Amino acid sequence: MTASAPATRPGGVPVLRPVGVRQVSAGLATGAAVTAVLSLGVGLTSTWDPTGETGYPDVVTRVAGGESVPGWDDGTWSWVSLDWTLPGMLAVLLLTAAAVAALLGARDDEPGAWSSVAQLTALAGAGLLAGIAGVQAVVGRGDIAQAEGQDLSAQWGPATGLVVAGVLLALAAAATARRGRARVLAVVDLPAREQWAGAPR
Amino acid sequence: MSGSGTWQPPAPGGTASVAWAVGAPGGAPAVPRRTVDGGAVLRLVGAGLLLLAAGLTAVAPFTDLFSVSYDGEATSSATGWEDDAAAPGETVLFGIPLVVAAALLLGAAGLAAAAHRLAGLRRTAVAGAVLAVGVFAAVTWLVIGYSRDLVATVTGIGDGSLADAETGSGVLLATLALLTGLGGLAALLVGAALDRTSSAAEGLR
Repeated sequence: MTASAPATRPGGVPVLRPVGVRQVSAGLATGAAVTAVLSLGVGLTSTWDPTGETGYPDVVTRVAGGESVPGWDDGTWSWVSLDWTLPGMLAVLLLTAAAVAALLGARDDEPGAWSSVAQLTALAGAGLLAGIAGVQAVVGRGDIAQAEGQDLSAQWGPATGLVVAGVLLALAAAATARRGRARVLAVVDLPAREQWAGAPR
Repeated sequence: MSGSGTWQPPAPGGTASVAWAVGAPGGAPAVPRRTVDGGAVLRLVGAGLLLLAAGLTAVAPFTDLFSVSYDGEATSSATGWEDDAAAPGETVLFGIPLVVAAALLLGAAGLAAAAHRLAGLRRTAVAGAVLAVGVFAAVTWLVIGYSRDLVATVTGIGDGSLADAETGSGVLLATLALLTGLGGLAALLVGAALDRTSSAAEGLR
């Protein structure tokens, strides 16, 4: 076996450099998954009573699993919850799969099946996160309006911003998942089949 | 000169009978067989299901998402656009994300239908459908979850002695739309896989 100049020819096996753009796609998908995970751990809105005279809890924060009300038991508090844990986790899984598929797709010259899987899973993750952000926006707006109507204070948390950042990263990952071509580093000439056929055993 | 399975030219001035050999050059024209393009059929089915899901999603916020009855007498309800005091707090405008999701599904259905004629659009159609169904699935999932939690919260107050609540037809429509949309996406994905398989088979011929 000999390694020769990087030009493909019949019978030669090209040694390819992984496609850089698709590796970037894997990085973007990983970034989107990380932001989606972070969005599960922070608040959507926080509402509190600045006067402390209404008997309202110190602070009510909407989080992925419902709401966080320090100092109050579940049985003494009723609140209509928005739980985005499951769709958020599904988006994280899809984006992780997109990153893995993009890495595998980077080893092919032409964009193949792995690149298609990477693109579609990144788009699915982006779609889920966009849907979560849309519902968070209207629920958060309702929280802010409700607080204003009841002389309470409320403010947005970082959850929606993180989810929107995840959407942008996931869309960028999808856009780059099928781009680029591999650079041929070398071509390995394999011995002809006839030589093996005549070789002593 | 018959029944031999081979063709021979007729003798000059004579008559001849012809037995066509199977696959002989110049032989009897093969009867064209109509083959069903499974990928194309599934693309149309997928487009139809996405269209149906878009319609159901667009209608859902205009119907009751949930209703609450107090002491079995006064009843109030909430849609995706307005709330006559059914839910505690401000109206949550679920109609906005639901209508946006319906518009995305409509666009995806249009792309899938156009891809039936334009082969170059097939990849774009599948990608658009995946994105649209992703948005739509998350929106309907959360709206249904929120409505169900509201019903559980209201009926939990005073063990249901003060008020009773139930989800409305909007939640039912959203659930149907979710199932229909996922079915449409599955049809498009299987259709795309069939397209790839048939393309690979043609490449081997």
